[in-house]
Amino acid sequence: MKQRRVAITGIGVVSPLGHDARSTWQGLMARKSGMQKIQQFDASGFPVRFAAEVKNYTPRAVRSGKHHRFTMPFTQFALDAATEALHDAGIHPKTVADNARFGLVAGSGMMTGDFDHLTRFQQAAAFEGAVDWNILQQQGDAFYRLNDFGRTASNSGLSLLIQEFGITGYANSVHTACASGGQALGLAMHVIRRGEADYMLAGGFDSMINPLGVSSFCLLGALSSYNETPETASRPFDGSRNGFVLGEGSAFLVLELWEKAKARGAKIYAELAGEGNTLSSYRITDSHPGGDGANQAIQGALADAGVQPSDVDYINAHGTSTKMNDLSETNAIKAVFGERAYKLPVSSTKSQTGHLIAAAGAIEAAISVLAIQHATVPMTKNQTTPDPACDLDYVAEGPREKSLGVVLSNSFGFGGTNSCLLFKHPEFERGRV
Amino acid sequence: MSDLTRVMITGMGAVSASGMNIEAMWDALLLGNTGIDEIKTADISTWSHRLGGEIKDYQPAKMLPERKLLKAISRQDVLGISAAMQAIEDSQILPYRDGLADRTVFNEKTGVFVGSPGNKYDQQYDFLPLMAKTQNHMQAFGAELMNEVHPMWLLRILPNNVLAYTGITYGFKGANHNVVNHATGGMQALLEAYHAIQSGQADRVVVVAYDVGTDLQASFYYERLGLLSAQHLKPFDMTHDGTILAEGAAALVLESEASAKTRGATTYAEITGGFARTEGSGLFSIEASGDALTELLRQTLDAQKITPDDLAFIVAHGNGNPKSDISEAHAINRVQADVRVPVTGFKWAMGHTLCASGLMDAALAAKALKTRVLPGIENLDAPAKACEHLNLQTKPQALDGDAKHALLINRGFGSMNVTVTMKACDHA
Repeated sequence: MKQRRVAITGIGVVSPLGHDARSTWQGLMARKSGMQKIQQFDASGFPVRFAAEVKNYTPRAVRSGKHHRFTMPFTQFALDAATEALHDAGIHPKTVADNARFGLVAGSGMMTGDFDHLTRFQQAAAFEGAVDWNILQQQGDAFYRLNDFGRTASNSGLSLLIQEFGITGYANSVHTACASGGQALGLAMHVIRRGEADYMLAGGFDSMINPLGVSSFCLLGALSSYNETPETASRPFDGSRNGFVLGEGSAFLVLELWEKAKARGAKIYAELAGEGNTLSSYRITDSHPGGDGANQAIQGALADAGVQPSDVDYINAHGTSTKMNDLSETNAIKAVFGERAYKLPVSSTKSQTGHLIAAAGAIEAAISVLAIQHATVPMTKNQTTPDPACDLDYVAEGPREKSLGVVLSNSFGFGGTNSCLLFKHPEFERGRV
Repeated sequence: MSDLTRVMITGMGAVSASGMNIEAMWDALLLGNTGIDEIKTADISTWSHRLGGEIKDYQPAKMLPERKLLKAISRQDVLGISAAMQAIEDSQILPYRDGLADRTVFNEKTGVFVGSPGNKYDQQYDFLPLMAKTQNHMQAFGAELMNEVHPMWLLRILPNNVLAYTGITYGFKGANHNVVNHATGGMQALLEAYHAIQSGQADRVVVVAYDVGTDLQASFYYERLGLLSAQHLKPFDMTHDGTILAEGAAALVLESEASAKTRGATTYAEITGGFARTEGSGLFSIEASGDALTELLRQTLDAQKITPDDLAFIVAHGNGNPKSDISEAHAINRVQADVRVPVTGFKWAMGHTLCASGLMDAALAAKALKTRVLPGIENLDAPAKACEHLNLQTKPQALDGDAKHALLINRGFGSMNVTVTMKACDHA
C-alpha cells in the first residue's frame, strides 16, 4: 500500500529570539540568547527571577471579530505564528477548493488559568484563603465576566484558531506537557496519511511565564537558578547545568499532501516522514537514566520513515539543561546510534530559546526544517564545563554548515511521553542528499 | 478500506453518579434510575442551580492501584485511573501478558489514549491562602511561596496524569495521546486509538476519558451562560431547559482483531469509524440549523458504506440544552429521512460528564449491542416540537432487527462535533 507523503510548505514562529521564523533563525545563527530578567510581573521575590520571554511584542496585525475578546497573550502568539505559516505556504483554509480538507491540531499549554482572574476570584470569594461559594454567588454580578470563562476554557486557543482561519474540518488539541508540540505535528501527519485531510495547520503555543507557572516550577526545583547570569543559564549537556529556563511562544507548520504541494508548485521545505511516539512508563518527572522510552521513540521514527540510523545527519535534542534529561537523552542516542553517535551533531536550541513547554516540540520542528533549508546545524550555547557522561558532539563551537538529508527532533514530556519527528530534505534519497 | 485491521472492544470500565462500574450504570439505565442530585461536596445552598452528577460515596483510596498515589494526583485523576483499572481487569489482557515469555513487544505495542479535561479552576485554589496572606503583593508572594504551597503542586495537576499513571502502573509503553478539547476529548481519544490500531502503531490501546464537570467555578459560568437547568436533564423533552454537569470517567480496551483472537478475548463490539470536525463557529456556539452536523453524519455513514437502514440505534449527545437537542434532532431527521432509527441518550442518568461523556456513551452503546437491549430515556414525557419525529422510547427495547450498526454523536465547546460508529460482533 502506497503511503500518502506529507510535505512541509509553511513555517511560522513567535519566539524569545524573534517575532517570526526569519528573525528566530537569525537569532540562533547570531548566537543570541532569549533570556533576561522577567518583565511581565514582579518576580523579585521568587527563587527564580528570569525567563525567556517574547520581547517587545505587539500583535502582527489588528484583528477583527468577536472571537478576539477571548484572546490571551499566548494565544495571540499562536494566531501570529499560524498566520505567518499560512502566508508562507501561500494557502488558506478559506481559499482551498474543499475547506473541509483543511484541518488543525494544536499542542496547547496546561496553564489556561489567568493570574488576574484568580486574584479577582480570591478577592471576591476567598478573602481569607478559603472559598465561600455563597459569597461568590452574592457577588456574582460584579465578579462575572464572560471573557474570563472564554479565555480559560481548555480549548480556548484551538477555538480561536478555528474561527480566525475558518476551519471546518478536522480539529484537535493535545497536551502531553513538553511533548505536546511534537505530538501535535505527529498526529497531523497521521491525519493526512489516513486520508482525512490534505492540509493541516499544526503546531503549539504556550506561556507559563506568569506567577502560577513560575511558582509551579520553582516549587519543583526544576528551573535553573543562575539568576545573575540569565544568558548563560540554559546549558544543555554541560557539566554545570542545573535546570531549564522557562520560555514562551508559538510555532506552526503547514503540512500538505505531497502531490497537492507539488501540483501547485509550492515551495517544499522538507518532508515530515516519520514519527516515533512512546511512553517511558518510568516516573512522572524523571526520564529513565538509560534512555529507555526515548530510544524506542527514535527507533520508531526511523522505522516509520524507512531510513537507517546511518542516514541521520543531525538531531535537534530535547536537551532541557536538567541533570536527568540530558543524561537520559544522551544515553538514548548512544543506544540507537552506537559508535556513530559520537560523529552525529546533536544540539539543543533551548540553550538560546529557553523551554517553550507545550510549544517546544513545534518550535524545534520549525528549527529542524530551517536547518535543512539553510544547510546549517544550530549550536548548543553555554558549553564550558564538560560532563563526562554527556560526551557527544553538541555543536558547542557555533552554528555549523552541513548539508542535511535527515534530521530528527526529540521532545520528551513530564508524564513520560516521548515524541520523535523525522524530517527529510525534499530531495533526500537513501544514500545521498 | 475493507482490508484494514478491524478494531474490537474487549474491556470496559466506568464510574459515574449512576454507578461505580459499567454493570451498575447499565442496571440503573434499565431501571430508569438517575444519579443526579443536589451537590453535596460543597455548600452552595444559596445557588439557584444546585444539581449535579456527583460520585456517591467517593472513596479514592479504594479506587486506585496504590494508596500513596492519592497524594500525587487530583480528584479527576482518581476517576480516570479507576475506570482504566476496571477496563484492563475486564479485558484480561494482563494474565495473557504475564504468560508471555517476553513481554517487551506486548508492552511496546500497547498504547494509552486519553481524553483529559485539562486543568480545573479548583486546582488553582492551593494558592488562595498564599494570595490571602500576601494580598496582591507580588514580591511577598514570591518570597512566601515555598512555605505556603505544596512542592509537588504542578505534578498533582498535570493534565496528562491519567495517561502517565496508566502507563506507569501497568508498564504500557506504546503510542499515546492526551486530547484536551472540552467535551469531545474522550471521543476524539477513542477515534485516534482506533486509527493507531488500524495503522499498526499499536496492537491494543487503553482509552480513558475523565472529567469533574461539577467544578463549581466552572458551574458558575455555565449557569450565567444559560446552559444549566435548575431542575432536570430531559433530553429532547418539551421541558428541556439546560444540562446538568457531572463527574465521571470511562475506559475501553481496544484491540486489533488479531490480538483479540490470539488470546481468545471476549469482544463487546467493533469500532468501525467516525470523524471529528468543527462547525467553524464560536467557542460557545451551536449552529441552530444542524447543517454541519448533518453533513458530518452523512460523511460518517458514507465512509462506512451504510445507510440509516443499517443502524440498530443512534446514541445522541442529548444534553438537555434546547439548542443542542433541537439542532441534533434536525440533523438526525434529515439523515434518517423515513427510516426512524431508534434514538436514545444516557445523560439523564448520570448527568453531563463533559470530556468523559462520549466514551461513557461508547461503553454503554457497546453493552447495548452485546446484550441486544437499548435503554430508553426514562424521564421523557413529551418530545419538544422539533424532536417529535425522533424514534424515542422511555423504556428499554429489544434490538431484534437485522441492523447491526450503532451511530454515536458527541458535541462540545469549539463548535466541535464527533461521530463514532460501532458494529455488533457476529457471535453476539
